[in-house]
Amino acid sequence: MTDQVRPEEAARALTEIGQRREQVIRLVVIPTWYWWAIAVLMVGFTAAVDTRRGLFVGIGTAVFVVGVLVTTGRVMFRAVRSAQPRNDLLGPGGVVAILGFVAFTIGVSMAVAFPLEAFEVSHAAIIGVSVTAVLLVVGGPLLMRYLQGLMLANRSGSRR
Amino acid sequence: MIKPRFDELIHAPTRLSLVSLLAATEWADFRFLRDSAGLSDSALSKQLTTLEDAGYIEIRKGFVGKRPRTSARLTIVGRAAFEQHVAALQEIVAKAGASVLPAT
Repeated sequence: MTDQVRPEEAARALTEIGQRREQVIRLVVIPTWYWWAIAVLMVGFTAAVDTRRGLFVGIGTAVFVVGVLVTTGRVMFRAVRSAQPRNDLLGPGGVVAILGFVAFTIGVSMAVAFPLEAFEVSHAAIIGVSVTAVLLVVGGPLLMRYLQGLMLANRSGSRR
Repeated sequence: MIKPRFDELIHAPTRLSLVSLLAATEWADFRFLRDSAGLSDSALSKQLTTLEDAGYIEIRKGFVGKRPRTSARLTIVGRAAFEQHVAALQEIVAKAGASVLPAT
């Protein structure tokens, strides 16, 4: 049978395989709006807590919890309704990138917030969380792009 | 080292698309496969049954809330067959030289 398959046909089949794999990888990105939503919710929640007024703290907490659940649920629902890419496509490099992003985000936020707090700058927490929010909005999509590139490079076929 | 083995069952265009999608996933939803491959429900069911009968895929049926949900994934046998098929295709292309290399 192999002899009956023309090289052009085999090449077309390989192209099709590559495109389908890429289709799956392109689909699984966390959308940019999600990073914005989480960033806005975080800043809003911190601002509400910073007022130290029971009503605002209560409303802020409720909005934050519901907001995170709804946005995260929506992203996860979309993922479940489509396809879950193979775990090994991410590879160790992807795991390191994700952990590095989390560590960097937390580290920078703390490095900003603690000195501000020490110098008794007003709204230190809001400023600190705002820095985190900016890092999420800017860094989140960059991280996704990097992970996509990694998964595309790790497609089976190019791994062998 | 994967031993190249051309697989006629996988090579059929529709099944090649489906298996390629499944090869990149842990699980894939029925609707995702249907929409991605541009098939009707019945045509996809037929192709999935063919692949399932060959032992290449596993079909999981369940419910999310009250809605039925069908997912599929490649079995170990199916993944091995697919990788061998890819190796066979690469071998054919390699023997023919660089003029037909796919643009991936």
